[in-house]
Amino acid sequence: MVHKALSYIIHTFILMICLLIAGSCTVVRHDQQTESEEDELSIYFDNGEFDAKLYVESVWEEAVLPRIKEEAVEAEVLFESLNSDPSTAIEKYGYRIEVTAPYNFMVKGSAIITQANVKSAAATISIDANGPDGKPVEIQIGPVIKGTAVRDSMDFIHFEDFTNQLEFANISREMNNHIKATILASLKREELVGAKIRYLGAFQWVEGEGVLITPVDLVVEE
Amino acid sequence: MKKTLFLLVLFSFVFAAAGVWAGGQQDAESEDEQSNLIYIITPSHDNPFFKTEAVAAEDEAEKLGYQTRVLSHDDDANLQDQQFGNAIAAGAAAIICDNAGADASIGPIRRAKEAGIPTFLIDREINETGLAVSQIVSNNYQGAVIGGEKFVELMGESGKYVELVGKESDTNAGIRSKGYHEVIDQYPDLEMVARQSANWSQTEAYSKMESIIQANPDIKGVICGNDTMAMGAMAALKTADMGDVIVVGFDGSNDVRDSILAGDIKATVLQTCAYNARLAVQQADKYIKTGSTGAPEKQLTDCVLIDKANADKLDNFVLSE
Repeated sequence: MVHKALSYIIHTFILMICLLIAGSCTVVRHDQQTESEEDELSIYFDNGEFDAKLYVESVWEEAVLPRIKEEAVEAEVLFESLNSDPSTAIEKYGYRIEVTAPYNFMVKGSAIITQANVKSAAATISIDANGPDGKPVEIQIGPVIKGTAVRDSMDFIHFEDFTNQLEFANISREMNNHIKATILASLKREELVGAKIRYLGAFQWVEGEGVLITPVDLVVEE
Repeated sequence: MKKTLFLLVLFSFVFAAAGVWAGGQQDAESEDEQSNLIYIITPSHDNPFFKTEAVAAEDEAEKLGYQTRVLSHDDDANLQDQQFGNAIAAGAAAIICDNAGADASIGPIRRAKEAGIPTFLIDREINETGLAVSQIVSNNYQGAVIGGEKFVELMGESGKYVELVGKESDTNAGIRSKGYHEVIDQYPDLEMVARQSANWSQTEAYSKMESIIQANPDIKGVICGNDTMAMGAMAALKTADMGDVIVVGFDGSNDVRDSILAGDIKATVLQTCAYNARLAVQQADKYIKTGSTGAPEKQLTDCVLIDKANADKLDNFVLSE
């Protein structure tokens, strides 16, 4: 008992000495921010060391396209499956990167373009396919491409391999830029309605909503 | 006076910690018992977002049989340093932390690791891996992108707008702004006429918005880095009889939910903060008991868009099915 009390006193004494030493030091804030001018807020988080464009170029032909070609399901089969038994369809064909995210699906098919929705910068074409729940099926044709369906369908791209969420986000942006530059640039946007196409791509599916495919290949047949 | 008070508080913490420490030492001598104390360190509870995540973590920890010590670092990296010091001195079993800076937090997390105390980060990430056991990161960038897309849609892809940015020292202020611009800047007919930081604050957003309105009476939209600033901006706009200006926020607070339901603010982005906090505690528990969480260090959780269609299902940062 005496031993314990003594030990307590010694501990307290040591702590007090530590505090006296600490108290005599000047505490310097190391999180001070310099006031920046309006419109010039700096984003220090993005240090620019990671070149997402280079990364995407290095994996596109070798890994992205092969995976989608390999895994893509025929549109009629996939949509019918999502329509009749979503949980089985998800288990069989779906892929997601984390538990709170929607599932992604890779898809391929042939279709007729029924409508070109080109008023918005995030332009799409509607195709004559029956989406789950009878919802419409659209393919993004840019210039603005929404979402991260292509990146999030890749089983070799993991968030933890990158420094932070900006690097991870930049991969998706560069993938979409790559799609714009290679697949969509040559699309004759005035002659779309009625044309027959073949497509390959990915979409993120939320039950009850329409299907919005990001294409990785889109060919208008003559 | 403030300094004296601060020192007093510090003293009391250290003594409390010393008590636990000494107690722990004695226990260790007698039966080698493991610490049962989890430190929960977050930004100020003045913001209901951080309060929710702290309360969720505390609740989950107590459910799993832990004692908790809940602290706020007020986004002050020095205060966070001291709190980590306390946790180390107390021989805590684990630290759950929404950190005070992607770079400034690396030091204290490393010291905790060296002292054998695992840290589980929630919400914000740090610029280093291999120090924290888990980083359950709220995907603010993805959230900003869906918020930005909704804003663009509401604006009809054209018009003048204002951006209110959060506190610059906060990583997420930068991430959200970058996400917004990633989307908005692709639309040439959307013109940003002012961009200012209102430091996450409702009152600051109100006063900044007041002066922005003076110079730009023809604005059509305001996109905000968080919900408290959205509330401030909306109030200033309504005072100026400009209540039909499109305001979009970020966080998913009950205040903004009510504003959306009343037809004022148009949309916000929900971060699943309560879910993330509970997940972090569950992983801490698993790690303490088995030495592994079974999950990768960096885990990303998606945000969800809240608008008139689903606002009524939102309560305390949880969206019911």
